[in-house]
This record gives sequence, C-alpha cells and structure tokens, in this order.
Amino acid sequence: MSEVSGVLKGLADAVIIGDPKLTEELAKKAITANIDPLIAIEKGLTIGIRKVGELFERGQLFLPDLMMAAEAMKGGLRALEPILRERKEKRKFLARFLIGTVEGDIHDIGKNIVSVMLDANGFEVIDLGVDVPTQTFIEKVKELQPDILGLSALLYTTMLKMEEVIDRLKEANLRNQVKVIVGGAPVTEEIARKIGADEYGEDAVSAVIKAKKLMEERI
Amino acid sequence: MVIRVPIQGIEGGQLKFLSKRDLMKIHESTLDVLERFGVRVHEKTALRMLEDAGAKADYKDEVAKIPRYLVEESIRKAPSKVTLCGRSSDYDVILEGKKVYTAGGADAIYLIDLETHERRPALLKDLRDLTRLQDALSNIHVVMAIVDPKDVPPLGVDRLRYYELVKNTEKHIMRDGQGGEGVKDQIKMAAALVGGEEELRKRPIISFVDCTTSPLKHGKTNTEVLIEAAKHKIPVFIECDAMAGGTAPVTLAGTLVVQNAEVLSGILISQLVNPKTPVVYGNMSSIMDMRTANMALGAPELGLIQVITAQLAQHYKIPFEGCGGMTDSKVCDAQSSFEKTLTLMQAAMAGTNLIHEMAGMLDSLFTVSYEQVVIDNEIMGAVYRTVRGAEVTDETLAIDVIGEVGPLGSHFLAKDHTRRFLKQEHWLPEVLSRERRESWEKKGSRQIQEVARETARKILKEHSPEPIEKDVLEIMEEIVKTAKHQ
Repeated sequence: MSEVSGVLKGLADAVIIGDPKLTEELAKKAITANIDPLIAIEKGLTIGIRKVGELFERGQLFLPDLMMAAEAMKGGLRALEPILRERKEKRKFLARFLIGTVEGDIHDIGKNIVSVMLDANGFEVIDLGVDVPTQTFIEKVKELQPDILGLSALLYTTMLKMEEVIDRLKEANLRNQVKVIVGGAPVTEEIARKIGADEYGEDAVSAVIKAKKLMEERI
Repeated sequence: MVIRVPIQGIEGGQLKFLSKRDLMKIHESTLDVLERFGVRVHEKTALRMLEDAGAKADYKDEVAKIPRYLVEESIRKAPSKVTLCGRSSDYDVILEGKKVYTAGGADAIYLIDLETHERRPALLKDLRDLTRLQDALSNIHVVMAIVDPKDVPPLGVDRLRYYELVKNTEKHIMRDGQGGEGVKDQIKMAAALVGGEEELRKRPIISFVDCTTSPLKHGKTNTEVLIEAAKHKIPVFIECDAMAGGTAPVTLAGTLVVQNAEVLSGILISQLVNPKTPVVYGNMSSIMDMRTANMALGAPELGLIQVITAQLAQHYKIPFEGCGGMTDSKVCDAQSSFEKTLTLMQAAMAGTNLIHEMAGMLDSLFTVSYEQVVIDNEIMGAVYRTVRGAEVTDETLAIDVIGEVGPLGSHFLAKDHTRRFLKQEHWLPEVLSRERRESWEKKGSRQIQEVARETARKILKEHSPEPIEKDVLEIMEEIVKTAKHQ
C-alpha cells in the first residue's frame, strides 16, 4: 500500500470507528503528505461515512455509530476545509439540501439523522435548526437557492406549519425552483400529497432515496 | 346494561429494584445537575419566578441554575395526596401511597374502524363513542381525549374536546391545554359544571398535563399550562418523556437523573406559583430504538424505569403518574398483547398511582381501536387481580371447609364458603375464551378481537352517562364558540 492510499484508508477507518480527534489528526497528516484535500475528502472521509450509512441501512450498525461517524467526518473537514478555501476549490455535491424543523417544534433527532444520511450520500446539507419560523425558510430558500427543502415536524399540531411554508413558497414565486420533502412522525404519504410537498420521507433511509429520485427527475 | 361500579383503590407496589442508597444517589445527582447545569425554561414568568426564589437565571439562554435547598423545600411542600373527582363521586380517585388507578389512551390520530376494520383518520364521532365506551368499562378510571379528531376547526379545539369528553363520561378528565388561555377556558367550563371555581378546587373534575422536553427543558406552551393550572390550584401532572440514548443518557440511571431534574424543577415552579398546588410526578420515559430512532413504548426498559421512578416518587411522598399498555405493534396481535401485559404488570407492581395510556392504544400511540379498549380493560382486570395478592386469614385458610369435604369428599362446589369467596378470590374474564375447543368452534371460532368488538358494539348501543343540564351546556358551548386563542 502506498503512503497515499494508506492515509486515505486511515481516514475512512477513522470515520467508521467514529473518532473525531483521530480523523482530524489523520487529515492533517494528509495535508503534510501533500494529498489533495478534495481527494482526502472523496477517497477518504466519504468512503468511510458511506460505509457506515450502508451498514446502518442493513441494521448492522446503530444510530450512535452513525452519529459518531458524522462527528468524525466533521473533525476531518475541520482540518481540510481551510486548505480548500485557500485554493478556492469546492467540494462536489449531488445537490444542496436545506433542512429544518418547523416553527413551534423543537424536536431535532429525526432531522439530524436525516442530515447525516444525506451527508453520507453526497448532499450538501444546510441545517437551519429547530423551531424555524416560516419566514426564515422563505428567506433562506431565496438566499441559498437549495435544490431541495426538507421540512421536519414531530408534533401533529406543528405539522400544519409545513403547509404554511409550502404556501408561502408559492406566494413568493419560489415553489418552482425548489423541491420539497416532508417527514416526521405524524406525516404520511397522503398528508405530504395533500399539503403540496413533492415527496415524503418515512425515515432517514427513505429520505435519501427520495432526495436522489427528485434529483434524477430534474435531469 | 352497564352496572356502575364505584372505583376502589387497589394497592400495588410489590416490585422494587433499587436500594435506598441507590435511590439517594439518583436524588443527589439530580440536585447536582440542577445546581451546576440547570434547566432551560422557555417561559419568562417561570424563569423570573425561579430567579426571585434564589435560582441563578440567564435570560439570554433562558437557563435557571437551581440551588438544592429550593428543590428539596418544594418536594416537602408539595401535597402527598391528589384527589381527582368525577362528575359522579362514585368515580373519585385519590392518588396517594401505592394505590393503582388507570387513565385511558390519549391523542391517537388514526383509528381502526369498528365495522370495516380499516385504519382511517379519527373523527369527532369516534371521540364521543370511545369516551362513552371508556365510561362503561370498570378498569378505566380516568379519561383522556383518546383521539385527536380530524374533522374539527383548529381554533379552540382543546375546549371543544373537553366539551365532548365531559358530555360522554362521568369520570375524571385529564386534559392537555394548548397554552394558558386554553387551560383558563377549560377551567371555566369545568367550574360551570360544579358550581363555581371555589367548588372546582374542592372537587376538581379536570386536571392538566405539562410535558417537559428532554433533555432538561421546559417548553413554552407546556409551562404556560403548568402556571395556569397552578394559579387556579387545579391538579397538574408534570410528565417527562425522555428517551434513553436519544434525549437522555443511554443508561437507565442517567435517564432517571435527567427525568428527575425536569420533573422536580417543574414541581418547584408549580409550588412557586401557588404553594400546595396539587401536583403529580409524571413519567413516560423509555429507550430510543437504535435502529429506527423511535421511542420503544412496549419495551421492558419502560417498565423498569417506571418501577424505579415510582420508588423515587414514593420516597418524595409525591403522587406518581406512569404509563403502561402501550405497544409498538401496528395491530392487535401477539406482539401487542405481550407488550401491553408486560408494561401494565410492571406499572401496577410499581405502585403507579395513575397508569395512563392504559386502554386502546396501538401503533406507538398513533392508532386506537374500539376492540383494543375492551381487551385492555380485560388485561387490566388480570393485572389488578395479580397485585391484589392473596389474603391469609382463618377464613381463607378454610380449615373447616377442608375438614367438611375431607379426604373422602370430591369437591368444594356446593359449599357456601366457595360462593362467598368466589368474587374476591377469582377474577372472571369477560372476553377471553376458556371453553373447550368444540364449544368454541360451535360459536363460530371467534378470536378475542371479534368478541371484544361485539362487547364494544353492545356498550355503544346501550350505555350513556348522566346528561349535563341544558343551561350548563349552553355556558360551555359559548366558551367553545368564542375561543380566540389556539
């Protein structure tokens, strides 16, 4: 194994075992070894997070494994991203995915899992957090021009806010430029259709599949 | 057809897992967490009250760090007995000690139709019928809004739900409020029924639930509910629904600390608003399933957490509300029966003063069914029989009767002793089958669901609670109609 492939494998493994410190250290080592940071991300970190995503889907790894892998990935990126910025290079993503929990709802576990799975599958995820006012969603769609907007709600009562966001997107003439996926415990396929969303993600795995499907349809 | 059975308090609490020393470790750790890290209180009045009482308040982060003496003082101040009254006094329950009572399911959004057996959104008619059904079943003591009906306008829906509930049951009603205004209006409605607010304090026919948000948060709407109920000195449940591994540490001990910190700080707020407010320590914590991120509601750990929480609440001498009879099975099947019996048994043996979500719930609380309400009432009967235990007296030892029949006799059936003690000693199921196969087949080989559906139909056809006087109904209707806030 060459030094380069050794470092890259180390990065992937560090993500798989979910060790942020080790991943960051190895990422720094990659920089000293003159490995292109984009390569370090794509052939190192991403390989690791994708593997964890697969094993989670198959029921061989569990949520803490998935979330720790995401933390490790962040650790690696902390070291690599400044170099990318210096070189004015950008990571390649499948699509930009804006996500948040709607107003009145402060539940974020489901949303965070979806974010990690999307990340593992090559999406650029921008997380607006919880209890996000409808107006903020509209402004951020305008500003960041995401390909997909993901709305999350755990409460039956706050689910109504999802419809409000979609309606306001229409009013602001933004609905055609962004796909909308909704998810969360009380949401169903039928509700998603009724409130005018493009897709419904039953869980994190299905959210990724639906997001990919939406991007394929676009092309 | 329904015979009104006055509610009797049956004692549970035979099961204990922790030693006094370990309980005190949880208590001490809780005080430590409250003092060092604090709780987040998304409600300014409550935060201010905590600060005035001696807590360190950070208004930017809305965090209150609470000194231990405040918490311990409020534990001592909180009443050790909370009375929940029914419209009829036959249905009064007194939460104290290790007495075990039950409350039916709450807030399902789907329902399995009694006739088509299809799952569909729950409607207002279902709320009425399911409430009436619970009114008739003797192992359900307190009623909640078992469904969240789809066919109602969103404005003032909590008032409307209370109106429909109180018309369809004479039992005590436990309510959620959608903020302070909703609580205020529902208290007005209940007061109209019993003859004024002063009378309502004496005979509280309504109570409210405040759910905390784990980890370590008091949300805005729920805290408003807590404050408003406490202002009126109406019983309030402070309930924590933590998920071990998700919103609380993966260890049960760690989860118990987080839960205890949330509930005890809630109890403190209630006693600051109004000393001696009747308050109940509430618990619905369980584990997070690490494959799906869902809360596992039929899990053995749910019952375990509950037994220990009951031990804590009993140590604090604060009435305890827990849960049982929930299931993650989507339908009435072997899994649902297994999970329901397990958790109801654990809850009763914990000495849970009020086991809520006890009847009708399927599908991780998303779906309810009529037959399940009947079946759960039956499971609870068996659970009650178990915790009642066996009484040993000269009469129950029955030496005389044993002598009368003796080694030469063949049975005890014709003895007065048998007839006299039958009902006390044997539990008699209503929907279970104990007959021989031949006669079961002759009657159509019906499974329990079918028998239970028939029971439900019969009750719905024949049973109705005492109606409410017309002028009181009008006052209540006016409040429902003029509700301006959610």
